Amino acid sequence: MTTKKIPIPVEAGVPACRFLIERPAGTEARPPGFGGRESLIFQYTAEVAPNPFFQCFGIYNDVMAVIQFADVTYRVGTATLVTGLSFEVEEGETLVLLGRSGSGKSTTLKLINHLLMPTVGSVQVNGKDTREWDPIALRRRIGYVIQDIGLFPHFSVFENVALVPRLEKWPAEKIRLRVTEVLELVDLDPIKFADRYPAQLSGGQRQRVGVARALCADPQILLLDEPFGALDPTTRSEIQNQFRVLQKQLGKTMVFVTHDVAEALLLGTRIGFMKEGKLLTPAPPPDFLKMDDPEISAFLAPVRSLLQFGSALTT
Amino acid sequence: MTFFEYITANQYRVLHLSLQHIILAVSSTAIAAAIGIPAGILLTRRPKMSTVVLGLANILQTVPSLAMLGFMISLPFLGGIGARSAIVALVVYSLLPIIRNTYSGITSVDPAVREAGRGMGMTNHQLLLMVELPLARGVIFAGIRVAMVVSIGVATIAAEIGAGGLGELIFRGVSMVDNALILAGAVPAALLAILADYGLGLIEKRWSIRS
Repeated sequence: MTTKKIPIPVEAGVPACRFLIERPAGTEARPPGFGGRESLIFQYTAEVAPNPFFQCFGIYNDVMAVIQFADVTYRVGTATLVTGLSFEVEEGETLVLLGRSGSGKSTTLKLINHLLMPTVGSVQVNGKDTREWDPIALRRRIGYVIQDIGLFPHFSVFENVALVPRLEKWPAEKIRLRVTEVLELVDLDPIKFADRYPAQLSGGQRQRVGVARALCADPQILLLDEPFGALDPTTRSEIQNQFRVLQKQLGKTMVFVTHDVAEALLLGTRIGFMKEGKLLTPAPPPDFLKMDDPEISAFLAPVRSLLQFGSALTT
Repeated sequence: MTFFEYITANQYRVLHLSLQHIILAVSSTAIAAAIGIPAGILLTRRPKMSTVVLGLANILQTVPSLAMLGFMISLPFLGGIGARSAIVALVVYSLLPIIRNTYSGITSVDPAVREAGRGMGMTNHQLLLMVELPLARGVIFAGIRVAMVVSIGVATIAAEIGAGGLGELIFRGVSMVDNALILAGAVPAALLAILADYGLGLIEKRWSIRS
């Protein structure tokens, strides 16, 4: 087993002992402390950071990005929907794609799960070109939540959530347990809600079911296309906060599309701004706020004025 | 002899002709459904063909029923005198509502639902069987209901080419200028159509999915 060991610089304030270790081929991606890979971590950290105190901070990481866009352009007829997209999404991060409607955010998302194929360039998921993936297998490994939710009106909540495991032919008992688990995860009482139909749910509840459905087969990647866009502000902020908890708890790799700056700042580990089919380099929220682009400023204006108004109120 | 006297005196004959009538209508609708539903599904997969096929079915529907039956007599193999060519004609009439409703039922499934299904990794086959057909079945059934009612109506004329059915009483009554005889055919035929419409309507209601 050969591993490449690369110490990486980390931001100030965090113990300077986070390292990047290339995942040995054929092993499963797991954070340290899980799945019996501790020995590898310790062997490595002892080498670079001889102080035993620091050894426990060794971080086992994937060098390989989970999702990788290389100069991707997508055209329909003469219309170019996205052009020259190059970016990576790393394991466990939430990349937010922010922009106006029609800026190519949803198109970018659909390029990941093979609903669309790039005209130029390549999209890789787990190091494999989407062209080489069996689209069905790929989609079943990727959770997908869309704005209109698209719950099946003729399926109960249980059947909706159980869909992918059912397609994957899990045993019935395992499906039952898993559905109960994810419904609890999104804060819906399984006993109360499992047998209801989508028409009998409120908007917020439907959205939770949509998220539960995407999570049910425990996908590594989650794609979310304006999932909370249709909710009223109170419900939205409630569900956003719960989603934040869920994010931390699950550590999934997510690509999140929104046109709401506040949502982007709240949920994104990095924010990529899209306009006219192009993507500005994704940046963490603090850096994003400093970015110099007229359209970003236009997006931020309401937030800024709200902050000013807020501070004016308190002083 | 009044209508009621005739009915009671010839109840077995009326019953027999009614049964013949039902067989004509049901069998032709069943055949039309067996052809029309798959055809409608196919059209949703080949949208370019839909205008051509639906247009053609529309034209066939416009041909007057008596002309269609007359045409059937001259048709080799499928046509001729008797129930077989009547059933062929009825199938032609029933096709349009069934194809059209299957097509529009499936194409009117909420695009978000379809996208969710595809995005979660359903194959085309699974999408059709688990999502599109269940959601479209109310509309498809409405098409079958219309086809059935049309068939019961046209089947009265089918007696003209020797296919039997309640039309026999009507035509004989007309030629003998016997109102009781006409009514003995017309009233059960009308009742059959109304009953079929009502009964199938009930099933349709139970089958449709409220979203």
